[in-house]
Amino acid sequence: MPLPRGAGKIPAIAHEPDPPITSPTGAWDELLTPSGDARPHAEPLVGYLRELGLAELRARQELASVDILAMGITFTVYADGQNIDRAWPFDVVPRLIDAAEWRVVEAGLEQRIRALNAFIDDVYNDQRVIADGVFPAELLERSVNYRPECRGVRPKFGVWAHICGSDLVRASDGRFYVLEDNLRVPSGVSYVLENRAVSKRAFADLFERYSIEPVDAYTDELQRLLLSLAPSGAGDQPTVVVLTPGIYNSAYFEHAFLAQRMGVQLVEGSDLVVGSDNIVRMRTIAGLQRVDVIYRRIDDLFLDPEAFRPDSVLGVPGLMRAWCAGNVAIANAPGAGVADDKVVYAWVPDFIRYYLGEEPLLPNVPTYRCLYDDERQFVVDHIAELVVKPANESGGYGLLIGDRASPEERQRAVAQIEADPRNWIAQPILQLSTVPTLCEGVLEPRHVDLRPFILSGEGEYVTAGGLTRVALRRGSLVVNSSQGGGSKDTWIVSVND
Amino acid sequence: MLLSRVADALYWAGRYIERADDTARLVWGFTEGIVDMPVSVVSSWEPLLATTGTQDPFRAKYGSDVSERSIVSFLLADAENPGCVLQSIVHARENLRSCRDVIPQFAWTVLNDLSMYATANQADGIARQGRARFVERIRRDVERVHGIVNTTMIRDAAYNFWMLGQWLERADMTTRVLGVQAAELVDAAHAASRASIVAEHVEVQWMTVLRSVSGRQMYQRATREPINGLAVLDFLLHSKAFPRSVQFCVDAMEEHLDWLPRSSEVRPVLGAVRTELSRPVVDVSDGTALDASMDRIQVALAQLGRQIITTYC
Repeated sequence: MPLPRGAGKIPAIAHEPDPPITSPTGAWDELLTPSGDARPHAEPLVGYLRELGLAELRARQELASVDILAMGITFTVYADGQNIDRAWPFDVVPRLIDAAEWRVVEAGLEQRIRALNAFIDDVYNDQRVIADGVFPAELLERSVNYRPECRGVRPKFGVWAHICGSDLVRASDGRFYVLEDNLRVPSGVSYVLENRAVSKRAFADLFERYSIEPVDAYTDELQRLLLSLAPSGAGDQPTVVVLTPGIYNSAYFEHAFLAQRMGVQLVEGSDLVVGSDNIVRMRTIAGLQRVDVIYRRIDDLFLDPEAFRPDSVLGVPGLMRAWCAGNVAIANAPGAGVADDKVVYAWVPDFIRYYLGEEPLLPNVPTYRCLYDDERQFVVDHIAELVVKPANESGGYGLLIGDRASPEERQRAVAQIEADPRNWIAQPILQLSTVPTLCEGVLEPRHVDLRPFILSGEGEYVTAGGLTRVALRRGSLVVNSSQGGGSKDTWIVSVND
Repeated sequence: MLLSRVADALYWAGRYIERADDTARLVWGFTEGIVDMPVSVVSSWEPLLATTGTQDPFRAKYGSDVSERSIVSFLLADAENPGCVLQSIVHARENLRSCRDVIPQFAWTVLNDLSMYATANQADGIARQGRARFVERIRRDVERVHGIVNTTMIRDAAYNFWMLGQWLERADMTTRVLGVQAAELVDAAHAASRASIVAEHVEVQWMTVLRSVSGRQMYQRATREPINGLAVLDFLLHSKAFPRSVQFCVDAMEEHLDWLPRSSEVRPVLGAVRTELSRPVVDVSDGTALDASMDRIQVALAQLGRQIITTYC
């Protein structure tokens, strides 16, 4: 029996968020308007949830959790001195985005990655961006992700960051902002595909009411991209491999998943050898076999003990030689991380104007660079109203949210900033949008972000939606799965009327 | 072409899955056999330890306690017995985890699920009451894995390595079951006073042998005669039709080698197994001779296993 809105056991569906202003309490809800009505693109879903009732929704959540365990969808965490496989945390209530809105986001992401690749190619070659005074040379010299070993290399299509995961947030003004671009070894895409598989089972009947853009094409697009990168020395059927640090890596599930979907070898560093001819080969049951394209999921510094960290046991000695000689393609290219830097981030809108002659379609979050005295002073004076981030940490580590920190924590942060200003940026505290989420048996609004994945080669491809991560603790803005975050399926939906 | 590391993982996964399945069948076949013995005959569960070659680690843990409970729990789920059913499944899962990209996704799902079941319910198989269900679940899921692999996996090198592991382990287990029957006969001969009692039950013992490798029904279909030692031995060693006979396993390995590169390094070692297998069947009442010939086959099989690793991994 349909429950009246706002009555019975699903109060959260009818929760009334505060007016959408930039205050910590005024979040934008992805499914509901401030008065508690469904947003137009979410009407069928919200109606469906009301019909379903909370008890049945809980049952569906249970079933989804069982599916996740049985399908072996896991991520690995390091706890109690060992690596533990945890079931992937998933909330059944999907996050919906209207297709018309998504077309704009997609165009913005494609524009952004074109500019980022142009920047990376430029800094490793002509450095016009510095000569023209757009980007300060000193920042490049001090970037921890800048690899002088990559100078003069010209990867195919001028593309360095072939796979990018950009984190988007929707602020209380209802607009999407880019929070950061992950250009090193972004992870999470396998969960986009698996979340869909799970929600198809959990809400089989709901899929009849919506036209939802499929996400499955990603692995085909990725394979097409990787094949297109093969060097000219490769044969008609280039050999593509996925290079993983191994089963103890937190994203191993994803590495195996992607290799499996593409039907390519999942290799570890010890499976590969580079000869004095600078050709990469893998050890197979028939002897050594040439490798043409490596989709690496190992950080730069561990890639090649000859070129980078000599203590790396994950990498392949001589890999950089082979890459510089043009005998193997590596995605993402070594050094691509130079643009994956929370300080460089602040210049991306300028790069879009400089390289493409276009205005950015997707805005950056306003960013204060502690490198500059005036901006640093502002950060120190207003630290309680800002989020302070180290430039080169991922996973939410080292992050300080000013209004939630104690005075001692804020003092410590100020000291850290003053000791090494270049390593710190600050941004206004954004009120991340929310989605109703099943928490301890009831639906409550929880903050979410969104990580779409962008592929770049000859052209660009953007996933239909991406990975919605959700902060499961009430009021929390930290969405990382390693720190208690969960995930939701993301649906790009068309409203047919 | 298949990575050497992956070939190694698949070969061992094949062995571990087969070992879990075989051990579960063995424990269940033995349980049924004991139930059939008159209560007046003092039944010993120790042959299970001998079959699986686990006497030493067992004694280290349990000393002289050779009760049904201790022995069965040691074989089904014991942290100190790496060859027990539970640990074999867990090892198989770990191996397949490192090569999930090459195996059918559902085979992984089933094994992952079985691993969780066996871990959570390991106590169930120890009491006779719950044993059938536990063993049944192991067998059923292993059969599902076989079914998935059989119907959906491409016949590439990965498949062939998995199967090499499976057939090698199975051949080994069949010879072990026969070897222990041999040891029983030796015991009987020594205990002359008990000989008459035991003789009456030799037939039950050979039946247990057949049950331990799930071969009773097919033995009777194939031979159409009552159970007798020589015929059982011939059936389990030389049948070209029964998929658990040593001959069948060896023929299967030969076929898988046909698909692999560099198999000329392995074939002579496989030939040595065939040579051992082709020696004429001994007098089945001579336990010592029977035991020795099973030992020789096992040694040849172990040599084959080492050669596969040396050549490919």
